[in-house]
Amino acid sequence: MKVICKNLKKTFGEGPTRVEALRGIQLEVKEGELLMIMGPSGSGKTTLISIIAAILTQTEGECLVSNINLNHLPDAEKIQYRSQHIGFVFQAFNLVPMLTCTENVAIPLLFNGTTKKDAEQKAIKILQNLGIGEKVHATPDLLSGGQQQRVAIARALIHDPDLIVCDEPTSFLDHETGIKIMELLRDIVTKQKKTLLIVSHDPRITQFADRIVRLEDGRIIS
Amino acid sequence: MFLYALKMLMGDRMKYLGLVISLSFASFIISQQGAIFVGVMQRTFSYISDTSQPDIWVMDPTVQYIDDLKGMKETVLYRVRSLQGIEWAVPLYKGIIQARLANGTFQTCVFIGIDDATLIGGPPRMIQGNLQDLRFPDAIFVNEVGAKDKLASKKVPLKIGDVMELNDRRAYVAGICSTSRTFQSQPVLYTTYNHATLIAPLVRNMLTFVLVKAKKGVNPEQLCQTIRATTGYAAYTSWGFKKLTMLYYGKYTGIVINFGVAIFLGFIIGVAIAGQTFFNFIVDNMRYFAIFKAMGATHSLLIKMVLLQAALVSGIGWGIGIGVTALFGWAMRYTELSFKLPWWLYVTSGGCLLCICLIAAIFSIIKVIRIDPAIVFKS
Repeated sequence: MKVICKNLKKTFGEGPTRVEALRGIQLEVKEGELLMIMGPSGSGKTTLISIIAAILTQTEGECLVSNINLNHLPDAEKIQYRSQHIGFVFQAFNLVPMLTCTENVAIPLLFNGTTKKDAEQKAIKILQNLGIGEKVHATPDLLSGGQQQRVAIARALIHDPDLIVCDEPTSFLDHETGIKIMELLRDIVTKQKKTLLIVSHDPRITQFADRIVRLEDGRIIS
Repeated sequence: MFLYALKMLMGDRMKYLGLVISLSFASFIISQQGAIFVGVMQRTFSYISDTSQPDIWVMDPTVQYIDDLKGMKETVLYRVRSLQGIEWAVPLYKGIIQARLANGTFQTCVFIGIDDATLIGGPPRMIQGNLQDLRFPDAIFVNEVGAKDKLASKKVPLKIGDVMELNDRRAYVAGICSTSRTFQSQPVLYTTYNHATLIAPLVRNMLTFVLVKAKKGVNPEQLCQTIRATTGYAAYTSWGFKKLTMLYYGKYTGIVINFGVAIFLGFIIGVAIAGQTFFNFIVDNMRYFAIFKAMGATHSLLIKMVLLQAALVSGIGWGIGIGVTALFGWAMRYTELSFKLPWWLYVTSGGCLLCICLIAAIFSIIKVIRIDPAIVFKS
C-alpha cells in the first residue's frame, strides 16, 4: 500500500490554546517499505500516523492511501477502511485482559464479519506461526512483555491488512526482546510485502528500517 | 463479538459481583416492598375477594369502602330483585360486634350475616363443619385465625360446640372457616342474615349490602348503571368495589405514599449504586472500546455490546432479587405479614431494573460514542 502525504497540516484547539501539530508534511511511503518515523515528544509523529490510519482528519492538505483520498471518505467508510486495510501495534500492547490470546487476535476478523469459529481458528494458526502456539488459551496477564507484543502483532496481521501502523513497539520491552520483535516485523515486511510505519524513539532499532524520517515541531527535518 | 462483550463484563469479577449485588438489592427492595404493598391493599378488600358468587354489590350511595357500613331499607332488596337482567339478589349484613371472651375481656369482631335461604356470601372454605350447619339455632362460624388467636381461651383455640357471648347473646360455634386476612386482622364471624339482625347492635336499617348476580349475557357494568338509575343506590361490580376500597385506603391512609417512597428509594439506590458501578465499568473499559473503534468497530456494534452487557446484568440482578423476594414470601407465609407477588409485579420490577440499566447504559453509550480512538496511541 502506497501512502502519499501532501502538505499535511493539523492543528488542535483555537485561539491562545491553538497547537500546530503538523506544519505541511510532504511524505511518500512506498509499498512494502518499512518506514521509521522518529523525533522528540510533541514533534507530531503520533498525529501523522493517526491521520494515515484514518483515526484523525487533517486540517489542511491531502493524505492518499493507495490513491484514495482519506479526506473524501465519509465516516462509515473510514471505519471500514481501518477494519480492512490497517493493522495496529501499540506501545502498551492494548490487549483486552479479560479475553484469551486467541480471542484478542480474532477481534479484527469479527469486525469484518468473519464467524467466531473461523476467526478463532485463524487466530490460533497465526499465533502458532509467531511462535506462541502454547499460549493460545492464556490471558495476557500470564504472558511476558515480548509474548504480549507478539499477540498484538498477530492481531495486527490476522485480517491481512496492507498497512501496519506501529506506535513505539519496543519501548515497553527489554533490548533483546525488542530486537526480536523488530526482526519479526522486518520479516513480515520482507516476506508478506506489507507497508510498515513505525513511530519510535528507540535508536537501537533503526537498523531494521528501509528509511528513517525525522520530525521536529511538526516538520520533517530529514 | 457479543460473547466477547460478556466476557469483558464478567472478566473483572469484583466489579461484576458488585454490579450484580447492587442490582439484586434494588430488585429485592422494589419487588419485596411492592409485594407487601399489594398484600396490604388486597387485605383491604379481602372480604370482597372471599365473596366470589355475586357480580354486583349494591349499597348506600355514600359508602366509600368495604368497611364503611351504612344500612339501607329492606325494600331496596325487593326493588333490585324486580329489575330486568337479574338472576338473583340476596341480602347481606356486615357489621362490628363485641364478643365476650372466657376471661371476661371483649374482642371486637367483624360480623357477617348471609342470606338464610341460599347461604350466598358465606366463607370461601370450611375447615371444620358444613356450610348448612349455619342454619342451626344460634349458630356462628368463626374464621381460623380468630379461633386460634384473638378468640382463643388460654391459647386453646375455639372449636365446634363451644359457646360464646356476642352482644349479650348466646352463640354456638358450628364451624371453623378459612378466610383471607382482613386489613385490621379482626376475627370474622359468620351467621345467617336473620340471626345477625337479632344479635347485632340494633340500628334502624340492618341491610348493609345487596349481592346481585347478573343473568347470563347481561353486562354487569350496564346492570350497575340500571340499578343506580332505578333505585338511587350505589352499585359496583366486584372489581369496581375493590377499586373503590383501594382508592379510599390509598387516599386517606398514606399507604401509597409510604410504600411508594420505599419503592422509589429502591429505584434510586439502583440508579445511584448499580448505575454508577455500570458506568464505572464502562469508563474502566473505555480504552478497549477506543481500541475497538480504532480497529474498525462501528458505533452500532459498540452500542449493542454495551446494551447487551446492561441487559445481562439487569436480567441477573432482577432474577436474584425477585428470587430472594419469592423466598422471603415463602418463608413468611404463615406469619401476619401481608405479602402477594402477582405476575405483574415480576414484570414491573423487571421493567424498573431494565430502566436502571438503560439509564446507566445511555450515559455509558454517550461516553463510548464520544471517545476519541486516537487515545489508543497514548501510553
